[in-house]
Amino acid sequence: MKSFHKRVQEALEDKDLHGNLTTGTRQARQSRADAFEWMRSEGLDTEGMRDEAHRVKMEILDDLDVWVDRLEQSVVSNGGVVYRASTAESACEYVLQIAKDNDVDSVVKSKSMVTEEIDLNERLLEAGLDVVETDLGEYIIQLAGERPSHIVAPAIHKSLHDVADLYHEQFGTDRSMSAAQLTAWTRRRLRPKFLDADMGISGANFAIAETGTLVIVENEGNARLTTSVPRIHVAVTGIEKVIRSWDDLQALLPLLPASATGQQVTSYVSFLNGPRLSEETEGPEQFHLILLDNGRKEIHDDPDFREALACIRCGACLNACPVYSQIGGHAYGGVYQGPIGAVITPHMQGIKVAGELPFASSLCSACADACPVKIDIPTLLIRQRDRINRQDHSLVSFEKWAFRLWSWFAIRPVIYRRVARLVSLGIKWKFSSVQLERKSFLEEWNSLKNSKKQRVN
Amino acid sequence: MELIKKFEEAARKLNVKCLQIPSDRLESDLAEYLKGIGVRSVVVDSDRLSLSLFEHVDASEADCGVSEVRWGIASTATLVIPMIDGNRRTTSLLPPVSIGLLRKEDIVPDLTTSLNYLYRKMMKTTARPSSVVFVTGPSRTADIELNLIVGVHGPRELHVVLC
Repeated sequence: MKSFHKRVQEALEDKDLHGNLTTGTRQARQSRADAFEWMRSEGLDTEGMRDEAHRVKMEILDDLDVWVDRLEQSVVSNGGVVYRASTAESACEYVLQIAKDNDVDSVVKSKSMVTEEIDLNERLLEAGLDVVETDLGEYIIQLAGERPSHIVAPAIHKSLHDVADLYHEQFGTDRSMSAAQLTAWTRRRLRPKFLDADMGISGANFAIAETGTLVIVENEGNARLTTSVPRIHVAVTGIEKVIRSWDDLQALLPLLPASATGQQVTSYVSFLNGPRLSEETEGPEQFHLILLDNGRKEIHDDPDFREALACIRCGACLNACPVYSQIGGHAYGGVYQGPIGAVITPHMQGIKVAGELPFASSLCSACADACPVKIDIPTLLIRQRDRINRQDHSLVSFEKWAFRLWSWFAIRPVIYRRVARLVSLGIKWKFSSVQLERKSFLEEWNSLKNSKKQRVN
Repeated sequence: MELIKKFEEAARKLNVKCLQIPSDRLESDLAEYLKGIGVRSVVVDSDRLSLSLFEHVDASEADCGVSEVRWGIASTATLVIPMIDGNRRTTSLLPPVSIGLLRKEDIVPDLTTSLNYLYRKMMKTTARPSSVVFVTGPSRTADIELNLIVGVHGPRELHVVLC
């Protein structure tokens, strides 16, 4: 992978990317603002809602193990199967095993960042399975062989022309197709995939421990299809997605679409309780829930970073971030982008690979203002920086040595002043065309001090 | 009623057609309406209707799916469709046109009330449905340049019959 610096440079030089990102994030910010404004006009205390959401999440995290256990019990009593995957590898292995045990040839997937995290598609394809992403944005980047560049809008970095060209290259369609035509074409193409698939893999936005209910929000209908039509449904989600009760859901759900897309509610919210009941003629015969650790327990057990697990993956921080809107998601080099990505990617990928991310921020706090669960991202970034700086192999060694050099002089004031004098003379000489003060501040001060002494005397 | 007006207003914003039909004319008026919008084949999940003049086919082939809505949410024009009492998942999902039959008195004010209701009425008990869906408008996406496109994998059109 190219260095972070290189990735950022390339992103900054990409005028088209800049245009797409600026427009996209601006629109998303406006939509979110409008949605919150509407809520307030309906008499809702949006700040109070955010405080409550934060409190709920932190309480759950305090007893995470308890709630994950409870979730497992409830899902099992609903007729589902639960697998606790400690690593990405074991999660993928489990899916492959289910596929093998059940003669699965074709898989449809609805949007799941967690499955990106564990590289599930790659593993399934290697094993000879036919895997197709069904969320339009995910389908586009699957065709392009890219990673998602945004938690919510995976193809936000692509313009209409980019997509039309991509489809033309892959399928020979007309380069001048509109967004509506491309979408209609995709609907026709993917419909048979849904109907023929043996297995549907989804994520989950919330998993309610009390009743074993999975909650999935979406607009396209592909998650409903993925979780309704194939005979096997596998849901993959992180352990931090567990919530305790429907009260918790009431505190969290209304904030998710409003923060993500500016909607009061998405076109579809599915509440799933496992496999079909005996009297039903539709719905999965088997339901598997994979609860992924993959470093989350470590983040949880670290009191400095536990708050990062409160994230409900709405993407609002990405849209708010001036850095993200300049460099885009791919420059972050990980699965999760933007401010929350900068916090968790060093944990997930290690600081050798991702250690520069927490430093690529001015700590403007736009992210903290946008976060529906009030995660104090700037503080988490500062803590990350502190951790990274304390390691022996500091990534910012230039800074380290520059400060060491400066401090050698700073504790020797006489030498410091002499050197400073020389440097200031050098600057005056170099930039002689610029009007600079004839005297430096220190010189002015000293002469003022001396003249005062004379007056007193 | 206040809630009905609010529901209709929210529906209008989403381009969801709302029509009020007295329950004794449901069969005839709905049949006429469907003919008027060009529907020829249907899949029906309702005891109240026969729609015998239409071709009854699989959801994957039907022009239109008719579902019974358990209750609606006024603030967002949301339809709550649990997969019980003959409701099937694909009826409100595969056909390009989706019709929801909603009783006027079954409208709650907002999302929070609806979640509360859902929990108390259906989820609290261990005999819970395998799936419930909140449907708000037709399917949509903004994945290409954030252009809003209506009609993706789910229905392109949603009509609500208040009866």
